[in-house]
Amino acid sequence: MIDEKNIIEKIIKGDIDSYSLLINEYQNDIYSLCLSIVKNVDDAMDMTQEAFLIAFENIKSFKYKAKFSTWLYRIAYNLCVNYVKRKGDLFILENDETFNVEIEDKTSGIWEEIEKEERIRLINEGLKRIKDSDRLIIELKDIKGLSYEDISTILSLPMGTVKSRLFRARENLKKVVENMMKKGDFNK
Amino acid sequence: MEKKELIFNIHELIDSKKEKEEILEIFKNDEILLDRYKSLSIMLDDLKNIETPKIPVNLEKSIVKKLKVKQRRRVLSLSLSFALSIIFLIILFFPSLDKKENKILPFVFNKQYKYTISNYVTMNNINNVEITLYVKDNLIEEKSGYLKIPKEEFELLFETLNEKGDLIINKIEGTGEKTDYINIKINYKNNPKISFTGLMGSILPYIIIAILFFIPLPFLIKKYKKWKLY
Repeated sequence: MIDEKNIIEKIIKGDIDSYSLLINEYQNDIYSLCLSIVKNVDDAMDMTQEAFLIAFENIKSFKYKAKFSTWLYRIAYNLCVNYVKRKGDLFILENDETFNVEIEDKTSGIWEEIEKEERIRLINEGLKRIKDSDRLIIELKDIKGLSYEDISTILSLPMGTVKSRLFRARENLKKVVENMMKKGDFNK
Repeated sequence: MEKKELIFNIHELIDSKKEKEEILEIFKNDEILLDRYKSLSIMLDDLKNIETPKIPVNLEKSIVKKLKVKQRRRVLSLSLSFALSIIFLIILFFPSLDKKENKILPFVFNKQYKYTISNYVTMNNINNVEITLYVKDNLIEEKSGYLKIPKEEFELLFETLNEKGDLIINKIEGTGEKTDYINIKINYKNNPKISFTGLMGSILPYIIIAILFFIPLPFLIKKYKKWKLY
C-alpha cells in the first residue's frame, strides 16, 4: 500500500516523478472505467491519460475529503461522459421507475449446478448484454469493490439512488445470465 | 411488504457485513426469498472474480514526460514575462534611454537692437543651453560665435525675456558693436524623461493591440488540442 498523502505532498512541492507511483497504482482502474464508458481502446487510453493530467494540474485543490482514487475516478468519469456526449453517443444513468421485479421459479439450483468458471464466463457475457449504465455501476460496486459513498461521489448521485440503481442493475444481470443458463448456452 | 422491497432488502443484507448464517436465518421461512438470496450471492461472489481489462500500454512515462514538458514551458513563459516586465520597467525609468532632441528657438530681430523670443518650449528637462550667434556688421566683418550657458542661467535669461518680452543685445557677449542684423539661434539639448503618462500615450495603444491579439491564443491552442484529442 502506498502512502498517498506523502506522495501528494511531494507532488505539490514540485516532484513530478512521485506522480509515477500514483499512475502505476491507478491506471488500470481508470482505464477500465473509461473503457466501459467510451467502449474504444484508443479513446479509453486518451481519456485515462487526460484524467491523470487534469488530476495533476488540480492536485492542489484535492482536500482529502474523499480518497485520491475516488477523486481520480470522478475526473475520469466526467471526462468520459462529456466525451461520449460530444460524440453524440448517449450515456445516461437514467432512473427507470417502471422497473418491475419478477419472482419466477427457484433459480439457485441452476447457479449451483454450473461450474464456477463457466458461471464467470456467462456473467462476463451477461455484462456485455446489459445496459452500459447497469454495467458501470456493477463494475464499480461488485467488481472493483468500491463503497456506496465512493460511487455516490464519483457519479454525483445520492446514496439512495446509487443503491436502487445497483439493485436494478444486479437484477437485470441476473435475469440475463439465468436466461442464458436456461437456454443451455453453457458447457455443463 | 412489496416484492420489490423484499428483494431490495436481500441486496441490502448482502451488502451489509452480516454473516451468511445470520441472513439464512432471516429467510428460512420464505423459500422463494431464500432461493433468491442464494442465487444472488453466488452471482455476486462470481463477480468478485471477474477481471477488469488491463491497460495495453503503461502510460506512466508518457504522462510524466508531458508534465515535465508543461512545467518547463511554464517556467520559460514565467521567465519571459519576468524579463519583459524588467525591460518595460527599464524603458519606463532608465534615464539613459531618454530621448534627446535639438530644437531651435528663433529670436526675431528688431530695429532697436532688441530680440524677442517667438516661442518657447518647456524647460523642465533641459540641462544645457547652447546659443549660436551670428553677427553681420557693416563696420566689422561677419562674425559668428558659440555660447554655452547652464540651464539655470538661461532660465534667468528666459525669466527676463518672459517678463519684458525682449532681450537687450549688449547682454550677449561679444556683440558690443553696431550691427545691421544679428541672428541668434538657441540650440538646446532637450532631455525629456519618459513619463508614465507620456509612455502610456505612445506605447499603450500597441500594448492593447498586442494583448487583444494574444488573449485568444491560449484558448485557441487549448481548443485545437482538445479537438485533436477527441
